[in-house]
Amino acid sequence: MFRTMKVSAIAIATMSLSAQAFAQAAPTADEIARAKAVLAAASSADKATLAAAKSAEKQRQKQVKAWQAQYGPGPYPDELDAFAATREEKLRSYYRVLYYDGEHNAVLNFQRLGLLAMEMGYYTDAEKAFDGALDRIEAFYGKDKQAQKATDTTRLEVNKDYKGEPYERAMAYYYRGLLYLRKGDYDNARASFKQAEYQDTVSQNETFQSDFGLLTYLQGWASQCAGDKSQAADAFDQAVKMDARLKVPGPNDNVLVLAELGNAPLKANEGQYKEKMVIRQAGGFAENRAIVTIGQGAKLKAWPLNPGASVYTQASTRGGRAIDSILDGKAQTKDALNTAADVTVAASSAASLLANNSGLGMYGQLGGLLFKGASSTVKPAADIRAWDSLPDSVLVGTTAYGVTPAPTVAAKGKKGVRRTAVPVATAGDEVPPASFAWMKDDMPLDLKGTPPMVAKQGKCMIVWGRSRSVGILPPQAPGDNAAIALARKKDQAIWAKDQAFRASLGGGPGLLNSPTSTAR
Amino acid sequence: MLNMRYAASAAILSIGLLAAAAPISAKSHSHQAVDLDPDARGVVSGVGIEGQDLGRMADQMVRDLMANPEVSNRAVPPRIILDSSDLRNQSSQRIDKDIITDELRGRLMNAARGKMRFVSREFIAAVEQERALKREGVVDTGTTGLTKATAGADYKLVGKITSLDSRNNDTGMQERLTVISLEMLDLEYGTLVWNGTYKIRRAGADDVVYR
Repeated sequence: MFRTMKVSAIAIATMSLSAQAFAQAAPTADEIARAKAVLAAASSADKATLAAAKSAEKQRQKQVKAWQAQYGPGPYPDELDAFAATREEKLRSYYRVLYYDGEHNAVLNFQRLGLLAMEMGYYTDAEKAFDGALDRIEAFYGKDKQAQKATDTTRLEVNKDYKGEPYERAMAYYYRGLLYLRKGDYDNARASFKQAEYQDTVSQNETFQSDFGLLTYLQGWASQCAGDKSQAADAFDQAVKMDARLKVPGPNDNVLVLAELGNAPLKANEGQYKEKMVIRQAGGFAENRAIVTIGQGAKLKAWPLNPGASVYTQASTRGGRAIDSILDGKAQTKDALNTAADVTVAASSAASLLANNSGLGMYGQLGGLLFKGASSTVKPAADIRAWDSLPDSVLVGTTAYGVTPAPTVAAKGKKGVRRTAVPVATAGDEVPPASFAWMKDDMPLDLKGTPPMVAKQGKCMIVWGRSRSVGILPPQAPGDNAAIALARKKDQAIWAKDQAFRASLGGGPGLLNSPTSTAR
Repeated sequence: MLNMRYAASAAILSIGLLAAAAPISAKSHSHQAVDLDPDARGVVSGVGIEGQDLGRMADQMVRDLMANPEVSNRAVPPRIILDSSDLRNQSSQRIDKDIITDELRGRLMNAARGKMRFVSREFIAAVEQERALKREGVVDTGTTGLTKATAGADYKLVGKITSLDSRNNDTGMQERLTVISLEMLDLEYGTLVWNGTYKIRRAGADDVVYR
């Protein structure tokens, strides 16, 4: 700034002198003195600025040393603050975690951020976040160093970059699909729901492969909104075969309602060495029904929603994972080493008693310790990082809103008079208000839920809401391992990868030029 | 004793060299942004349509279309609408359809050299606005004069992107066949005067820890 001032001062002085040159042959001594004074003032201001900048840099170096001791190589609070400052205030804590964790938890952090942003109405942030997650889910992590570490006997599975279980991947596509529906991009919505369903085919148990009927139903809905009637009919038929509780929408239906209930399925460790990852249904919620109300006055419509999908069922019916056999192998190795330690100690003690030789016992104890030491290096624990902001289940419903059947047209056919009705939209693109009443069976609950997302940008309208807010959850996802996170920072290749990730978020030197969030 | 000294000196020197080499090794792992050939396979890949497919697809389609005399060899160059408004994505891949039609239009315009005219409907509002200003006398008529109406089109590019996914759960192998099928629709008769199909069949498996 002071450099600019100096330049300006010179410019002013020069301009002043040039003007004088026009008026008179040469400037007066007084004018020259004034110009010199301006230059001198600017120069001293410049020096002061330089000194202040030097002092600030010194102070920062001192601070960085303190942070290095506390946080390792970084990123440090000032960098995090600068990055977060460019984001929407209500999303900042999640953005900080995303930035700090790097690629290791990028998919999980993007998923959690995307859902929070979607709930709060920051749809641009939500779209970008889910795209960030899906791009990584779709990419093959072949020969990935971190993935290989996860299979190493002496390393934990949590070393791998998170991609989630099939139900979590499917739900990321599901939310991206809803955001496409909101924008009226029915083709990409259908593509997202197709990919979501494809994630469900990973199930080892064939009975449960492609049993996520709601996703097929939503493909049908996207097709219906896009005007692909035959594709829509096929998808609805298939969806109802998968889940008989789903009701095929009417041909004139133009409003899709989705209500999400309860808390996310929980991941837990089981087995002697925590080598098994199991899914448990979350408690802490009573709601199992919802009634939606759309519009007001004479146009008001309210009806109970149907069961659409149980996220818990999808999570818990996957069957085994390919990595389970690796973790089992690790657990068996650990078990064998422990057994060897016990046997060595017991056998040597017995031998020393029989032979009356205490040396044998000592050697045995030493051997046992060695086996125990080897056993302690084996790490069979399963990775239980989880997308904790998912719902337990989803309810679904459709209706025709603002569409009045046209007067029936009588047409003479071979079998007499046939009547056809052509729907006429009357509400235009206006978006009516919508709300949910959350219930346990037939009893209304004192549950506010989240403000619903209500949008209509194409032919169809979408209403989406949740009984439980994501906002009450901490910004950090559960199940991460702080020691692993710290160890990652010491690996230069991983550090470089994480720095590249941060740069892609708009961090690094051009941090303050990154785009800000777009509110609803 | 002397040998031990030499050995100690060599060890210290080796450690020093290793320490000095560390930053170089760090540099070799750098993930800074790099320029890549848009027509070559990228560093991140899956089974869907990727950057390199766009160029190849557009090249093949342009060659096909230029070889069709009904479209490319008329005495009066035909007027064509080439945008994504009637390109349907029925595949399982999220895609910005504009990237396909923009690439195709660019290459076709270069190859056609005036043998085809391209009508833009995407920015019709800008055209209408300028026409209104000219007719109101707010601006002059420009250098090409006034016409009764904007250009009507003879043909429109329509098409579909479809896909077929399969997976082997034992090996983790995933496979996708993506078909981009484009057609030139005669906007007067409704007949199709050209069809071009581009297929991408790609397979891959993720690391065992992600299956």
